[in-house]
Amino acid sequence: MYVNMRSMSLTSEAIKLFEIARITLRSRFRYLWDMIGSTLFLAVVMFVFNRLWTVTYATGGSKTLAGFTLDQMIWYLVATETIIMSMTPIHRHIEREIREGDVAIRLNKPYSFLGFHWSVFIGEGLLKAGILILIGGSVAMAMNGPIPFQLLSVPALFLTFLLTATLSFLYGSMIGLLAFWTEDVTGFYFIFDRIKWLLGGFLMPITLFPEWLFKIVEWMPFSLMIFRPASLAVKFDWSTWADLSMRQLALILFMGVIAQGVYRLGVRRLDVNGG
Amino acid sequence: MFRFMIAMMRTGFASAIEYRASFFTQVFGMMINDSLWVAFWILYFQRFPVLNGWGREDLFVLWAVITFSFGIAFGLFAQALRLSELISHGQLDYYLALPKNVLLHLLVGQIRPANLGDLFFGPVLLMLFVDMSPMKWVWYLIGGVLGGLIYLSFFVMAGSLAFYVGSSEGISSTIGNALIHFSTYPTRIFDGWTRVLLFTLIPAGFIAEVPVDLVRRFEWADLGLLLLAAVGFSSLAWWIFHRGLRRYESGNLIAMRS
Repeated sequence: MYVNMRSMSLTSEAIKLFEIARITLRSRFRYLWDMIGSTLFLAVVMFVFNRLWTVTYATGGSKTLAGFTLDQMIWYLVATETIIMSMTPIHRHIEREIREGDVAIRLNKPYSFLGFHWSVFIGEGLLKAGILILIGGSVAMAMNGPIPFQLLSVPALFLTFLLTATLSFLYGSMIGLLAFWTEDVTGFYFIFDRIKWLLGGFLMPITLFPEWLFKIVEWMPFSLMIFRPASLAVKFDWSTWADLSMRQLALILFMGVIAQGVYRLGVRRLDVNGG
Repeated sequence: MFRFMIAMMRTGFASAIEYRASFFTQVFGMMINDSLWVAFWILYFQRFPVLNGWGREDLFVLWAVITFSFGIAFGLFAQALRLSELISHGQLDYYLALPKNVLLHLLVGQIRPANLGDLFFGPVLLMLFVDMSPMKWVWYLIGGVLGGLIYLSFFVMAGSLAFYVGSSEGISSTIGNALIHFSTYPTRIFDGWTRVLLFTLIPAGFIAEVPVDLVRRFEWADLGLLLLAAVGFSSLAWWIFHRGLRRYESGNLIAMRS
């Protein structure tokens, strides 16, 4: 009986979170052109990357670098940019809610605080990612042309995107939750987010790092947030996908427990003034 | 005018440092952020020692210049980043009612601690990693200040779009980010029309290339060119802003200004 009740409550929580994500997606559609305008910057980024890596490959005189051809490298960067730019700055939303006391409003709502933010994050992220792939892909297609791609991999990559976004959400929300203890988390964000960028392989694949650093970085969680999913997108195979998904799920479980713990500790410090 | 600017900046600084922990976290956070960008280039140059004639030390000078310029432009004149928002939300009324020049008053109204981190980062990077003679320091400081003036002018022009097209926050920030992005990479990787663009419409070349050349191998012609560009772009920004100001519509906003 207990098991049934528990599974029912989990199902109803999942339905609520799905609905929040769906509503977010629909509401953001209303501002589609604004979103397209603000993501057009990716075209500039891809143009610069194209020049940088074209010159780099030409100077090196080699057709492949760390297992990537020039075209694969450009599409890899489309994938990393899509991952990073589609994620809303969740730390800022959470920080503002804590600082301005809005977190108290969510305490009596029939859904979890982190769950609500996750749904909004995913809803918005999906729409942004679609636009970013379109813009980044168009530039890559125009400047470098297509690379081999299996259409059958699309559903699998969709799931990978959800898991990757969830990891980014948990990482960002933990930074935001620090606002329970400190007034402003901007400084922490700069430090932790840029470490993720650098060691996650955002600007170049971690396989280009020096051997000693690659061995360390390979075992850090950041590559699961950027390098591995982006590499999978340009060089898809099912066994890598299965392995990546298992690792991402394990990390989500671990980070989820920590984030929830930090949230509970923080809420205990909360002083709510009625009014 | 100079005394007014100093007085406003002093007030802005006092206000920013009010929350000491937040102030220092932002300053050091930005310095670490910049360090990690430099770390990317160190990793890059470890693998590919030369990039179109540029080596690792040139990249250090580039980052020292652009962070210093950016720090001057937006650490000390932070409201330039919000210009389109202030215009489209009708929030210039406060400045219009006072006898000082609107643009100047608006620009010196706020200090941004995070970008003060950029301002400090540049010289620290040079001190730690580049062999600098006293004259190189002079050219670096001059190049950095003039680069800062170009950044600032460009953002004033991008922000002034709001006078003409209404809500332009998205497009202004995209244009501004394009300049920042182009200036953080060695402009020598570009050729043909892109280079023409980088010395005209998106003047990243004047921020990222000419000041670096001043430090690497000084030439009077480069200094003259940079000076001309800084004066030209700031005059153009001044003109565009004041021309646009004639079209400004008040938001009838009554607000407390802290």
